[in-house]
Amino acid sequence: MTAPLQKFIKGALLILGLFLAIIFTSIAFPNFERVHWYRQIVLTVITPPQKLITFSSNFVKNAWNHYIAITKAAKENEILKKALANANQSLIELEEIGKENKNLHELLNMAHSINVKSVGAHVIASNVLTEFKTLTIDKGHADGIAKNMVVLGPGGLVGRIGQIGANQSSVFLISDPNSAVDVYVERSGGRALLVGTSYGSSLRPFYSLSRLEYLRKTSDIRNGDVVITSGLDKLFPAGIPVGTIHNAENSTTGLFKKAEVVPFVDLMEAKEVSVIIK
Amino acid sequence: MRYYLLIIIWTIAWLLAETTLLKSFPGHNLHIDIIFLTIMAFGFLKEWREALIPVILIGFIADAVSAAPFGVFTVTYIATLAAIRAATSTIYLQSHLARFVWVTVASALAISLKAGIISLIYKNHVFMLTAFWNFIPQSVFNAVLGLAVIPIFREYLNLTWEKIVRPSGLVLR
Repeated sequence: MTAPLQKFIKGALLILGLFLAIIFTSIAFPNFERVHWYRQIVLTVITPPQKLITFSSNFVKNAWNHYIAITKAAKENEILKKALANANQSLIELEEIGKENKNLHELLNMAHSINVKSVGAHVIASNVLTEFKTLTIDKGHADGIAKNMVVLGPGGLVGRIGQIGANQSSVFLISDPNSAVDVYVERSGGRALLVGTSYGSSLRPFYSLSRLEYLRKTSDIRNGDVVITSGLDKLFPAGIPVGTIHNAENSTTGLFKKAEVVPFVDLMEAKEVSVIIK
Repeated sequence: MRYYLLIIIWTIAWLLAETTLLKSFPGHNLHIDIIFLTIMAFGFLKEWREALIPVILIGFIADAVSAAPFGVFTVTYIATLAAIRAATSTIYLQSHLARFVWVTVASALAISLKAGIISLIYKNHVFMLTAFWNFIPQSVFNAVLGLAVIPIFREYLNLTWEKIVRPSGLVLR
């Protein structure tokens, strides 16, 4: 064997050994709350330019949407006026229901509402390298973020905090294949488990959809029903809007019903989120 | 040193682009994966001894940024490099058509391997199902993109500071 080849084999074995040691360290501490130091080094390098690129591209997109594409605004204004009128009508109805709900809660000696503190964060990147559905936000350990904290978007639930860096964290979306949230259907009260990624959807295959599982056969569900968190999983507070039912499946076979859920938040396009600090 | 620095800059630059500007391009289920094509380029253009350490380095950076368990990308990339080197030792892979076919095959294998590892780690078959529905269009897309990216990467690796700042007079002479 030639000397350069021997040198190469030694070098390659050294690097492979080092890499295997790092992998074993990662496996030994799978639930380690913060990312390991070697990941933090790469994240420290990559996060500032990620922030810069995301904010710059958002700025350009906003400029386009608000100033250049203003011709569409007049038409949208008409539609929104009508929607606002309908929303006001619904609001009055909801206020009445709210009063009734409050009275019932008081009667049952239950907590009035969730009293939570939250931290605002910007989405700086998305994970496109794997089948995981995650986002990266610009808040981390230094801002008081901890693992499994609940992340909300404009209008509903987004997911929960995964790995945490010094100034960045990953958010596991509710459409991630590993996600599971205990929910119920607001109209009928039917309880189910919301799991990530509806791979057979005719609406938007694989993209930002979740599905309801373990919904009892006797449960009354319809397309358009609102799904909210139940709080029974002890992870997500009760009453957070999640999405609406689509493709409710009422087959005669099996023990449970299934349905797809379209989240209220456009998960992959979310720009600002808030993290509930426990 | 220049060689490794160029690889680190290339990897970080493309990771930045893929996770921000190109995250939804060309579609939500189809994405530009230059990092994987870089591994393919190493398989086609370099010998084992020149390719292995850069591939581990690229895998390390991808693993650090990704939400997947640490090591998934490095293992997948080393397996891809091994497959391409094994193929190049028996088949002539320098024509465009051969490259197109082999990038498609290697992409499909790499996507399946990565999804398989993640499915085993999390004991969740959904990762495998999602990859199964997605891997044909993604593999073909990688192969089309590879026709352009592999020659560009070859030129990029030959880049020197002297070439960038060379005065025009010197070139004309």
